[in-house]
Amino acid sequence: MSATSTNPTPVAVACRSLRLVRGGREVLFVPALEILRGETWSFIGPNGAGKSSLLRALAMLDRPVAGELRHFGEPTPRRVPLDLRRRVVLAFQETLLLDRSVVANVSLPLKLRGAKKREALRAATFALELFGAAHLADRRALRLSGGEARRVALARAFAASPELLLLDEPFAALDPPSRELLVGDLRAAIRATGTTCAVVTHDRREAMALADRLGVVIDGRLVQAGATEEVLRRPATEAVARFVGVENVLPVRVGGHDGEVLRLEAGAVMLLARHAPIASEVALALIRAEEIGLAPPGKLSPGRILCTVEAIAPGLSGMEVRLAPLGLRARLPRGNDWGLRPGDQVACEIAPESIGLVAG
Amino acid sequence: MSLAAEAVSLLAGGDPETWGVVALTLKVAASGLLVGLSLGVPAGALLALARFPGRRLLLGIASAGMGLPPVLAGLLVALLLWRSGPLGGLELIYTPTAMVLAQALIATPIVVSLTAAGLQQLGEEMPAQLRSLGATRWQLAWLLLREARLPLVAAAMAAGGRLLAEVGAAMMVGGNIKGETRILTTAMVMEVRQGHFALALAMGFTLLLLALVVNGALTWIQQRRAA
Repeated sequence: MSATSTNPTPVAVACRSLRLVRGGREVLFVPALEILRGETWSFIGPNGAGKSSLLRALAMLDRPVAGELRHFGEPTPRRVPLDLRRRVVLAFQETLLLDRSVVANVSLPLKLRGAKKREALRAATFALELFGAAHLADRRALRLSGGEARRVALARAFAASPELLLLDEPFAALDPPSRELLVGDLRAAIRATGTTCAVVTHDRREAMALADRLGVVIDGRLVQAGATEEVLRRPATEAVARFVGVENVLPVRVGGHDGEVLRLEAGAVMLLARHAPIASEVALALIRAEEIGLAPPGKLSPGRILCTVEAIAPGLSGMEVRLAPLGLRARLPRGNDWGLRPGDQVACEIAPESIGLVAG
Repeated sequence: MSLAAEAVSLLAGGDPETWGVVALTLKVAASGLLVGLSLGVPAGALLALARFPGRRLLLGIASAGMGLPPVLAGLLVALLLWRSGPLGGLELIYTPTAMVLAQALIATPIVVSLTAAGLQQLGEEMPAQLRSLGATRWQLAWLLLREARLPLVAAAMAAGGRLLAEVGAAMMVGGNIKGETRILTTAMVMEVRQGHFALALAMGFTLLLLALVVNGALTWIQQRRAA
């Protein structure tokens, strides 16, 4: 990419203390965010949390009222010059196709940039192929099915090879099988083109499937941003933990520490967590269901907790087990639950590394 | 029955004076519509797409203006062009130009309102999406107007139909001068007043035919696009 060589900064976009207002109401505060070239970001959060506003600001469609915004290493000017705006493309949640042929829609971004007809056609065909939609080229865009229209809208967004591509809920209103296929195709398209990309979704599994970096937006604030694994393993707040699907959020009292290991009292139960010391004495321990190891009680050994099965039922990704004490939620692979029934006793093991802690 | 037969024979006979009236009718209405479109489409686009104080007020005025009684439009133009009026020096009163002005005044609010409505119907996010795909301001306006082509045809139909049919303004600023400013509607009023019912009826047929042809053509364009 020639633009990369003329502009060697690795940062595609950076924000600091950014405040966004829409309709006189503050909709988003971004303490800090840095998207590097080549990264794929997902932004997740409940509906109406401010994710779309973030994309609009990154696309330079809305101007932040305060804070610092930089695109490609330069402060973003108040009046955005056309050639800067054209380096970023935002695809809205609605497909918003024009009432023309599919190929006319997809070649539009190139034609707007003054590309020759043949070049525009070539780029449009390539983009359609990325999404397995080349066969739709001559169809009328407004006659497509929802899934087809979505693929065409994505192809259109890729067609102009933006240096930063922003996608707002690209899987909205698709049925689960089409969603899954499209998530795969989108990931492949991002990798194949090396596009720097930020995708807004409210589905954390899609976010995990797509992106190496994850931002969580809750109640108008970018609460946490970082490597996907890190955010999932170490949510910064209780709200983030609940949104990224941490099943166990336990109020604990922080006891002393042994080197790097903190002692946590959850009622009568003692848990050990390998975690940096935390200022607060009351805290919440965050434990994912799949991090809780279950074994027959005969194998009880130090560090294990003896629990009673309160309930066990099949779930989407295994047998969901609820345990007393603490109401712990654990998960066993289906077919590997050695006939557990409510009332049975099990030994429960939680690795100190797998316990996250946030101030209570 | 004999009245209708007489009207048909008058039509078939096609006396040159009547044809002159038909031609002027079309010319005045088409010119008024053209002026209305060239003012109304850009103004409607501006009102739909730009954000500035007073925008809503102007949209309200335009939509109220759709109901402007033609005779009132005629009166406004007459006041301007009257020999002692502010533009009296131009000596335009009782000319086809004056009629075109009055008709443009009738057509413009209709075109403004329907253009703005057609563009707004594309959704609030469409302009932002096109801008983010790289459109300049002018490219954006062109793309959106093209996308709203069906409502624009409807706007032209609504305005054109109204201009063909109106009589009050044409009478007031044109004066129904034979061979100069006489159009079908004003001629009909005069013929009826003189008891020439067959002739009035013949003209009525012609007017109806014109309206049907013009609207039919525009509807055909609209349907072809929508198919």
